Amino acid sequence: MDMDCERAIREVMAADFTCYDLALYLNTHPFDTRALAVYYSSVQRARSLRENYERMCGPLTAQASTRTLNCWEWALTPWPWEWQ
Amino acid sequence: MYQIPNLYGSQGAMPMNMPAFQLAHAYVPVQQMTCIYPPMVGLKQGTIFPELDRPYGVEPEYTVDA
Repeated sequence: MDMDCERAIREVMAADFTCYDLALYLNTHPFDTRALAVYYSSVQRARSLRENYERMCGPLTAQASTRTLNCWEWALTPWPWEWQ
Repeated sequence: MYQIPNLYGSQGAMPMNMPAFQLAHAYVPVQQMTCIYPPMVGLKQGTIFPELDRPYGVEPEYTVDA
């Protein structure tokens, strides 16, 4: 996997991690509106980073493998965990 | 003698009108989100909350020598 993809996937992982941690916090603080606002923007950031990764490096999930109907991209591009 | 850690450490916790501590009860101060780490730092530290980033063995008063 080339450098850009590796950097891009690290960004996705870090962004997702922030969302997970905020979600755990919100489970016990459901009315913390500031945390909700941070969660909202974190999810949007994670989504755009994921789309950026997928545009560059291929689908992260099988369901994201819908850019082309000519071939099953999911199996033809390196899987996200197939690193150097 | 195992030194009882001060549960309300320097950063303190939300002042709760706590009854005197009862035996055999656990008390967990409620976390109040202040700031969070940037994503890459959070991923590396294992938490995005600085107040929860407390690797074992760093604070002597909370470290029991194995």
